[in-house]
Amino acid sequence: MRNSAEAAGAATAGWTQFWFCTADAQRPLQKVRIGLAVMAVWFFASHWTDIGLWLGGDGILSSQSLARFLNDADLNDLVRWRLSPLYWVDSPVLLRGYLLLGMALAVASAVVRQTRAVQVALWLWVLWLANRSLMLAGLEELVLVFGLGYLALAPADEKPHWSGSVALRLLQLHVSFLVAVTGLTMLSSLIWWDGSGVMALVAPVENRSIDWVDRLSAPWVHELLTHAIVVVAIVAPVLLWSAATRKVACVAAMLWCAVLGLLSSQWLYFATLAVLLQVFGWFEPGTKVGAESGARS
Amino acid sequence: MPTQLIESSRPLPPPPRVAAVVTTAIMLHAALIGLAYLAVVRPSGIQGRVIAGFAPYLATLYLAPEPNAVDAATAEGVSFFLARGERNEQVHRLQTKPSTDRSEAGWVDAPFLGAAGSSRQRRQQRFLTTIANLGQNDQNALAGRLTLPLIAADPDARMVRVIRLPNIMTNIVRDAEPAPYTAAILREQDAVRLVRVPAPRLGSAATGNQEPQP
Repeated sequence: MRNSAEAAGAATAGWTQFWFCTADAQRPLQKVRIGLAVMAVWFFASHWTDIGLWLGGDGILSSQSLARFLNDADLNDLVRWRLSPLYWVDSPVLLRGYLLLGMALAVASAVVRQTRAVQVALWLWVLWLANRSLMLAGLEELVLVFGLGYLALAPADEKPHWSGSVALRLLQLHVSFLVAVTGLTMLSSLIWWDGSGVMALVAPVENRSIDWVDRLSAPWVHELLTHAIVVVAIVAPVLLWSAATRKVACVAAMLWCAVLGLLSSQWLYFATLAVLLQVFGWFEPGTKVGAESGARS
Repeated sequence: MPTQLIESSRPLPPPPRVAAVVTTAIMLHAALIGLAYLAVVRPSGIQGRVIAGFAPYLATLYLAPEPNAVDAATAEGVSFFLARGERNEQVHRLQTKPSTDRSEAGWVDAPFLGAAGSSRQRRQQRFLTTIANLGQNDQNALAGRLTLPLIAADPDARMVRVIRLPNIMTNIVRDAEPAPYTAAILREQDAVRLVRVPAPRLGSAATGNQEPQP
């Protein structure tokens, strides 16, 4: 009886230490904040040339066109929670103004230390555009939104606060889980077992910045790369949580992002993921942000 | 010395009541993210119901991938696995031609959006993939609804189609498949309508004689 009470107490203390008392949480968060600000500028800039074409009043997915389509498809229930004020904006000029303001918020989020309001505003700005981009948005919006959302929980300055610790832990868990899920869902397809996954990734050459087909055509090259991509995606998220293997796992995960970015041309997605991996703080020798930093020394 | 530095930067925990509320929120949040992410390949009934039930949270905050919005919208980039060698991953092109003949001649690529590998091009591909999937599932009205704005700038077009380009992963059977969506453009004064042109179906039945055999 006493033992179980002690165990429960120890578990509660461990949980509290892990989530609320991470030492030195603000340093990696500040690095990630700057990195995500750059990604957010890139994200808004990437919409500059075609936002009016898609979302403008006469656009392909103007509010009216989209509403008619969703009505006909009986999909209103499914997407009614994709809330965004941009459904009421149809002027291409205003839409571009929205992008400009988003870029300004991104820059401000990297420099303003007095309040977290800027970070919250930037998160909302990206979120609203992602929600409005029905049928257009992809994984880059997903990682950017949750990354900025967790950062908005942390204080903007460098003073230690339990909310910074929670933000760091959520980011670490989410990023490592996302990489692991990528590996696990790859296993649902035969191409990631038989070694041709990489070739499937590079096959749509008209949609790729670099044509890798000839360079990877030797079976041993693309099969080895395919297996390495799956193994890193499944193993690295586990190794990231141990101090002894964190550095190796982080380097492997960063390389994984670089390789997949090059092969798939999903630059923004993998660059954002690489920025988010910095929450494991492997680059700063004095920083202890893994699971062990929750333990009292 | 380094230990002292680390200890000084360790925050104090919140009051117990706040910690309890935050803990509950974290657990619920983590469970929902886990469920939503693991539903990417094919959600079970339970997963689907939980995700739909928590849509005000997951969808409003864009925390989950698109829940197969238009069954169709699992286009490239939306799913974590990046590639599965499926039709959705082929490059899609919108083509028009100024005549209504059924031949393969005369099709012209609609103005191309964006450089290869750019975000702009990726958005276009996701959209065309949605049209192609709707067309393939015989959702002609919906495919037409999405296609109409794409041809607005081309008053001479009489036919429109979305095709999938062959690549190194496609075989001769897949390359020979008809375009997933082909439509004739009917213009009546200011109104424009699209009428689906039925695609020839591949089948095992003999096609030379339409009369039923005794």
